Amino acid sequence: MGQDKMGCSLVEKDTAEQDRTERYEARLEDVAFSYGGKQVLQNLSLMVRPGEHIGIVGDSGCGKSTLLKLLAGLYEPDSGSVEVMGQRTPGDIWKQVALVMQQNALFPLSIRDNITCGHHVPEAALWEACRGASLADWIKSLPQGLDTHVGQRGSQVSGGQAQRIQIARALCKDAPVILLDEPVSALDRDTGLSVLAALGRLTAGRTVIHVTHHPEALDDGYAIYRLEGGRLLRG
Amino acid sequence: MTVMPSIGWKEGDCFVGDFKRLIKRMGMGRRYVLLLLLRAPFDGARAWMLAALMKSVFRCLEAGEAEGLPEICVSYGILCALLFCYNGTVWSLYAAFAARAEAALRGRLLERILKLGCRQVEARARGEWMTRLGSDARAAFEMMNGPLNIPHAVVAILNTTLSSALLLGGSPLLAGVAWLWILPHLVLHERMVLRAIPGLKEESQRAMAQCTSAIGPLIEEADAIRIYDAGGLLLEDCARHSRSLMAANLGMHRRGALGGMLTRIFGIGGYFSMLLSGALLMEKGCMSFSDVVYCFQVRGSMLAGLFMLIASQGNLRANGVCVKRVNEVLDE
Repeated sequence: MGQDKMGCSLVEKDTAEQDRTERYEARLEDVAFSYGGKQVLQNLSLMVRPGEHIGIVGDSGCGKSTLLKLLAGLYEPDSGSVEVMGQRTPGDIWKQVALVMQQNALFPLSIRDNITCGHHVPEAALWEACRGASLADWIKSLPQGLDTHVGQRGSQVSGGQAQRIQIARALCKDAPVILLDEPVSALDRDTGLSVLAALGRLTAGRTVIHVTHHPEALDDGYAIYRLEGGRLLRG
Repeated sequence: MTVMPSIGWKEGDCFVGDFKRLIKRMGMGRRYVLLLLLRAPFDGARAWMLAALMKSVFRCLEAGEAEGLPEICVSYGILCALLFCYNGTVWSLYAAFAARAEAALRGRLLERILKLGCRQVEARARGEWMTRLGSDARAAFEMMNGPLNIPHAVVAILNTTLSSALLLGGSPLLAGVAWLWILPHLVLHERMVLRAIPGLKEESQRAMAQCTSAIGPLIEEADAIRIYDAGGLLLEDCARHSRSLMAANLGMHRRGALGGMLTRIFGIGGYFSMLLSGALLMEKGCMSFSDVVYCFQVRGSMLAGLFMLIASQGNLRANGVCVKRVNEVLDE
């Protein structure tokens, strides 16, 4: 095919044969998805190899977040299949991914609960995650430390701190596949840069799918695709 | 009985004062008082009519003048019809007024919240705002129009006063016997039940607000909950707030049950004392059977008024806490 398109119909037969024999950590095959009668994604395929960093860019409302939710097993496709780390059922896919979202996805609980999500995490591992997310110094400066309440929808912490807590949560989970949904787009430039540094520590050595409408947020290590008209084009 | 200091209710806080402030704010004070007063005489008038009917019927029977009974019954029927027509008219006016007042109150609250700065809005949890806009505003409306609240309390006061006067006129001795049971009942009810209600209600409203706040993330953060398997943590948080809501409500139910027990004990005690006293008075020829029946009827009406007043007081104190919270929002 002349243009490098990831629509399944455009993938050459021999490449498809090769895909089936290769090992992928995340795979979307012939996926179609509609939302409220509107076709958002159609015949979309994406294969992500271990450790690969995929950046997906596109205009607001083009379906980037939908694509990420399909990969996370949060939506089920109308047709086609989604597979992450060999798992196809939503409950099993959830265990394989960590998600950092654009909006403040904090629970109205303590920093500790937001990072551990109620699971037993040794104190050393918890602090390691905090250091990885550049949170440790700030947490140490708080009178209640890790037990500080973040407030409703994170109202007691700044946007940057909220994103770092999400990153620490993802670090703590130690999932093989990291899904990033515009993690810095709501932050100012300086905060965004420091959060990106923390994200760098989270994504190092892991498979990453990062959706954003700011291509500059993606470094050279990313294979960039553009989502347009419900199809993926090599960017 | 002292109220827990943590719940923020100080002795001397007065639900009537808060309600007056709210009504004044809404600019509806005079109309509300007028409608209340128009509504108030119904139960008292009905009690007097019923007692007079019983007395007249038994007097006729005692005098062997059964031919006078139809006239008495027809007069009673006509008076009842007139009274119910009057009451229906006043109630319909009152209900329309209360519905308008509720809409105006919600509008005023929303308007006030929209005018607040972000910092003020964020200072309270979302559940707190929702509770104040929802159940607190509804409680203020309840206080204005609901059963066993201000309208019934006013009716009950009037009914009790009128019945007490009638009982005193019928037999001062029987009136004394009746009040001998009523006074300790009122004092004990105040100390054992009513005093604790505002504190418990405040705790309950706070727990309800926390519960509402805790439920929100289960829906809004559903994605993160699934991915990070945080359902257990969030549900545990909900359950914790639910338990404190249940504990506060249970405390109020316990007080309610205690109040019910006091009512039965003192009601039955008073009834037996009245029976005994009435029998003695009839035996000594001081009173006829029709007079004793009249006094029993009047006492029944007086107690109905008192029990209504007691129940209304409990609801008023509970709803007064909500009115105070509504005023807090309007004061911001």
